[in-house]
Amino acid sequence: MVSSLAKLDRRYIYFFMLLVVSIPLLFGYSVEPARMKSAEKFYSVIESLPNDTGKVAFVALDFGPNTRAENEPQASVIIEHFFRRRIPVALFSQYALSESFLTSIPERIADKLMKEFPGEVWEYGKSWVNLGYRPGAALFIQGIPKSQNLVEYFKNDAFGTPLSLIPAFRNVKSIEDFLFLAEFTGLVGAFDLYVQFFQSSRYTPQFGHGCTSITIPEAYIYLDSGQLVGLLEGIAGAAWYSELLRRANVGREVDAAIIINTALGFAHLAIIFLIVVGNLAEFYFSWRSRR
Amino acid sequence: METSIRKKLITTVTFLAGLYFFLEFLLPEPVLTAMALTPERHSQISTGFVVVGTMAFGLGIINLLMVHGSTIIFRRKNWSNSLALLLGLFVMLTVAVSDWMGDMAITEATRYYSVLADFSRVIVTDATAAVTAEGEVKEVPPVPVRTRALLDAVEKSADDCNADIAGWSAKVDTLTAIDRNIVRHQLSELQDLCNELVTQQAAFVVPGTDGALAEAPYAALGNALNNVAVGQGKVRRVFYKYSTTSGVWKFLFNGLYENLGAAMFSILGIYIAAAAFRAFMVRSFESSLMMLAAVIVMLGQIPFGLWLYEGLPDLRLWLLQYPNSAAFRAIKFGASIAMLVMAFRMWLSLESDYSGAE
Repeated sequence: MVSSLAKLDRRYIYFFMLLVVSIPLLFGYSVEPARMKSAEKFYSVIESLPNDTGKVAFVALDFGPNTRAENEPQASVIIEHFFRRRIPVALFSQYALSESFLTSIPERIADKLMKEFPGEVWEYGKSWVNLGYRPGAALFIQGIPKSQNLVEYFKNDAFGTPLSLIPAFRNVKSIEDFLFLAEFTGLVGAFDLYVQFFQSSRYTPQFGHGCTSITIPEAYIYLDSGQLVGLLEGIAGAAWYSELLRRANVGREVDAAIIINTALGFAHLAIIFLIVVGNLAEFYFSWRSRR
Repeated sequence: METSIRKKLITTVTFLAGLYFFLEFLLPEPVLTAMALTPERHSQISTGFVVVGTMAFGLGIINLLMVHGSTIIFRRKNWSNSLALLLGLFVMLTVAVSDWMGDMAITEATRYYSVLADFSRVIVTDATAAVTAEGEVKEVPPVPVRTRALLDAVEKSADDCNADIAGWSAKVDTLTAIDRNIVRHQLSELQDLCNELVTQQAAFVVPGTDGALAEAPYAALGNALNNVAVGQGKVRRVFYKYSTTSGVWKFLFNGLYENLGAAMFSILGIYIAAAAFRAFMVRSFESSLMMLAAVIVMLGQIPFGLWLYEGLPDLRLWLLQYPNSAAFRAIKFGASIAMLVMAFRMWLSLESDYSGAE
């Protein structure tokens, strides 16, 4: 039996993983996520932001379809929190493939909140503005803190409407009018640009980051140094953040972040199981060969 | 061009471009301004570099057409795959451009109100400064004439706006429930804005040729026009979502491309499972330490880890905050210095492939 395990066709392993991940997703099975202190810090900072200053939150969605499984739930919970607190959001990206997320995520969150609160409205132009994809990466981001008229710097939103006409953004003059910077990415080097350049000599907005699981070790050094005030560690961070929103808002349903995190939990257990079985088989063969 | 001249040209341009950005980053702003390098000029230069980089897209498309086009024309091996690729490219280009033009059409449809708002502002600035900055007298019609033209245009635009509102109100029931609520709210706001515009227009007193020009009524009329432009844009955008172009774009990009991209990346997870079974073997003290750390970190971030041991998330946090941060800081410093050295080598064209040298 042990020798047949060692020669196991990898397709059986693929099928096993497919079942492990898909069954919780299909049935919407969810378990309370593990507590993430970095996500809690993120939550408490946003919860304490003033919402009557006319300033906006700058949210950068620098991810594409390949990392949307982790970054999209992260962006969704943060934007939802800003919407609930009635803090206007300016959405931006330096990655061309995130263009559709800049439109779909806030619309979906606004629809969800309007179902939860009939009679209240979250609408484009007042609750959020889509600045769109801007080419230039480091060059463009370097220009943001240097500009004293960001309405002129960005000029139009993603749909061509002059920003001077959009209520959420028309009073934004400089980087000091950004209350908070939230950035979500799985790209190498994208996050570093904001750490380096999204600040002026007088002002650095509070910075929260959402990363993929593979870049958690790299992002942690910035959390430790205080350059980040909060970190969403992959889908687990998004799930705990979603749980915090659920606890604070009666009637908020379990969302995709918690369900995906549960499926991921099963997948982790399956991988640990495979590692243990593989190592046991290896130990057995080496013991047999020594005999 | 001879190789040596070509190499010298590339080296010189590379050095000058790098020197520009190096100095722009290091020198304080007053020094840059004294060198006539204002933020506006820097913005224009940066845009120029972005345009050069964007040319790579065009080169990429030309390259694709050449390679795959020749495969199709000469019926080389796997020509059907090349045909599928080029068909996908053209379909996506066509739909993306159509969607972009649809967005631009919305902006164009509301531009009339913004133009009138600008006209309202310009009437005041031309009246208060009859001479241009270059000392020339502005030859414009008298203020009353321009004002009457503005008011006539505003009356027509208010009628158009009311007609638009009536048309949209008749189509609201074709929308989904959520969009219906949003559009009803937006139409109600837009109606108020149109009424405000009509009120402003009706109450406007055309100044005489000799009378003092009051700025406030023109500013109020301009604001009302801009508000109507924004309100119109919001409603048009909701209805545009139901257009064929928008639907096809969403199907191809959101429905096909995004999900295919996510599926491609998710295959990695399945491969890792197979690799975990076959290759993650504990053969030494170091590998067992790595395996233990990996298991603690994995279990510490999933819900089920808590069922095994309550302190697992804290143990995971300790591992990330202390050993991991120390090691990654060292890696980050080393990698950053390496990048700096590489950047200097590229700036000075010391990288042989880059400069075309042997």
